[in-house]
Amino acid sequence: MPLVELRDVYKTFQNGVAPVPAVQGVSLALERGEFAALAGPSGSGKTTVLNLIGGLDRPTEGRLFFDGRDISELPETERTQLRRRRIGFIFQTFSLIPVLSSVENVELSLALLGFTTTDMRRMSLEILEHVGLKGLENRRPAQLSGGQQQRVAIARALVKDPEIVLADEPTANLDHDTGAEILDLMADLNRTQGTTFLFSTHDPKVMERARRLILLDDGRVVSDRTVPSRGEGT
Amino acid sequence: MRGDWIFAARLAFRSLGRNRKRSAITLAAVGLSVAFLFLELGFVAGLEEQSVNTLIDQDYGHLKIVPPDYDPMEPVYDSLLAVDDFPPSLLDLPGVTAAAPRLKFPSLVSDGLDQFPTLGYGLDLERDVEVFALDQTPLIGRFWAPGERGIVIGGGVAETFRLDPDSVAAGGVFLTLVGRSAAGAYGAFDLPVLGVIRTGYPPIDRSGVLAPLELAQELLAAPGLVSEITLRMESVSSGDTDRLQAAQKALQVRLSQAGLQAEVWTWRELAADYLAILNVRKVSSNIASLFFVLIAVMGVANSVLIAAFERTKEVGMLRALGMRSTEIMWQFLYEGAVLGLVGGMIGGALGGAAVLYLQQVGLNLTALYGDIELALPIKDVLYAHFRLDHLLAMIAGATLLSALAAYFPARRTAKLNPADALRAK
Repeated sequence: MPLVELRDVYKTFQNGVAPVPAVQGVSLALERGEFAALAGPSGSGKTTVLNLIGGLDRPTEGRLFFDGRDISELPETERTQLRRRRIGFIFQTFSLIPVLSSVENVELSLALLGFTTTDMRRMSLEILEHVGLKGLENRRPAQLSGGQQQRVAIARALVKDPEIVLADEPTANLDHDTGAEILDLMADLNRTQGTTFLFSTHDPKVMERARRLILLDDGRVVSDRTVPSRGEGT
Repeated sequence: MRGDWIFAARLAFRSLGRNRKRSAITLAAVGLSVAFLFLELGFVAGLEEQSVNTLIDQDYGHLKIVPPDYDPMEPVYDSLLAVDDFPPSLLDLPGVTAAAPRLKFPSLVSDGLDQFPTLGYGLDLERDVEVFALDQTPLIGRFWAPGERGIVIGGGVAETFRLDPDSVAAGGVFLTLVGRSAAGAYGAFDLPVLGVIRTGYPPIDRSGVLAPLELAQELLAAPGLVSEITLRMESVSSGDTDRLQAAQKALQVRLSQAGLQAEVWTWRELAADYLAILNVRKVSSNIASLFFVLIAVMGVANSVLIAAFERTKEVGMLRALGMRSTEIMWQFLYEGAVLGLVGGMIGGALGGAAVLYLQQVGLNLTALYGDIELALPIKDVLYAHFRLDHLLAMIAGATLLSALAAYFPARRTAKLNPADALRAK
């Protein structure tokens, strides 16, 4: 059973009185452990597909399954539970809370799951060390570089051990080398921990790092292929 | 310990630092309103305490025995009591420490040219100071020595006759005191004015003439008669109505059993009109202060509203992480509450320090208002009264009101669709 499955999913936004189709009949399935990229130009529907999979938005039409369960019509409270426990998010702009330190930003994910303060601190420090931020735990986002901030965001997404991490243009705000480091880290976590990654990008160099490349254009899947050679992000 | 509440509280406190200028302005608004309100309440509490003390210390005591037809609103002093009917054994109730008779009487005072109506007070000085505080009251000049004939006049009477208190104290000033007996016969004595007194109690200060009890009885042809007997009780606080009423009842029963036609009044019953004036003042100044509080609360609402707008994207991120909309709302409510709590504590510290200072030093009302009388039984210097329960209630109130003020912006933000929030610029 695929971890995520979209069956003929449509999403239309209302811009004033004019409907704007963002996703038009997308069908795809994502297996556990995949390291896949959603690629396409700006406005092709990448973010909308990620939001739909993450339960942040509902499809206008079609069915969306998470671990075999139809989440298309799930009430908001249950979708929140799903995000809280099983899905990790990484954003283009890092979206860290500026008044919290690195370790506290990571702890935020665990606080929502009701962990004790001791466990929260222990687990967050471990994951920060794992993403290469040992020694920077008490720095606030403004005291970190862009790459370091994105590492904190990755740690925040991964600390709760989600089944899938959805990353929306995770390298778009980073220079090439830093972006490559972030992709290396994600690929490494995918390989060592088996976490499923689905990330969006419009950068061809980033697309090359994925093991599976799903190309979107104008809200439709125009290509979906496995990349056997460089897919491990090495 | 579960980390979510601690985390939420920590985030709420830290959020004060996101926009320091805005937080500082909001905290200043909350702090100043709390400080102002506490100062105002401190003065009202001080006013109440001083007023009550003055009433008890100068005229009402704790319990008063009067003739049955006594009307505290319009006393006429037609009926009198025979002081020998009330021996110490009759008045020896638990908690009663002293009793003193007074003979109050409508009088006239004349300097030979002008005459003015006054209220005479015949005092048994030795017993009087056991109940009242005339001996601790500012007096220019002196009271009469035992057996001496002379009067002490209120400051207002001295002003009416344009008498300089210092020249009064130096001696040689005489006034004629006129009184009327129960049979209607007038008596008049030329008496030396021995001193000028300022008690803070308007009836004595404005028109009081204090004289030895025997002299007053002689003037009114009323030997052995008094208009009232006042009792002092030990450690009766102004709010201690139960003990007071119990003593009143017990005394009334004793008087009835002794076959005496007399009534017992508590100071609260006698002071009903003053207490009503105090209450009106309290309510009106509280209403005025509420405007300051409302402005501060609007500041909190505005602060949270702007913060919520600015952090729409962050709210989207929190929703993506799995924070429920109610948790988002609570987060903003906490932030409002923290503004109220910290502002309240700052205001409490400022207001508390000011009240403690003014409790020691006081506020000179003469300097503020000149000679205008405030119609309240207080002296020239008003002392604030520090009340910890007021302070804690105000900090708690500021916290609660600020959380309430944050409710609407918080609710609006919590209702945002997570994807819409993430798309916000």
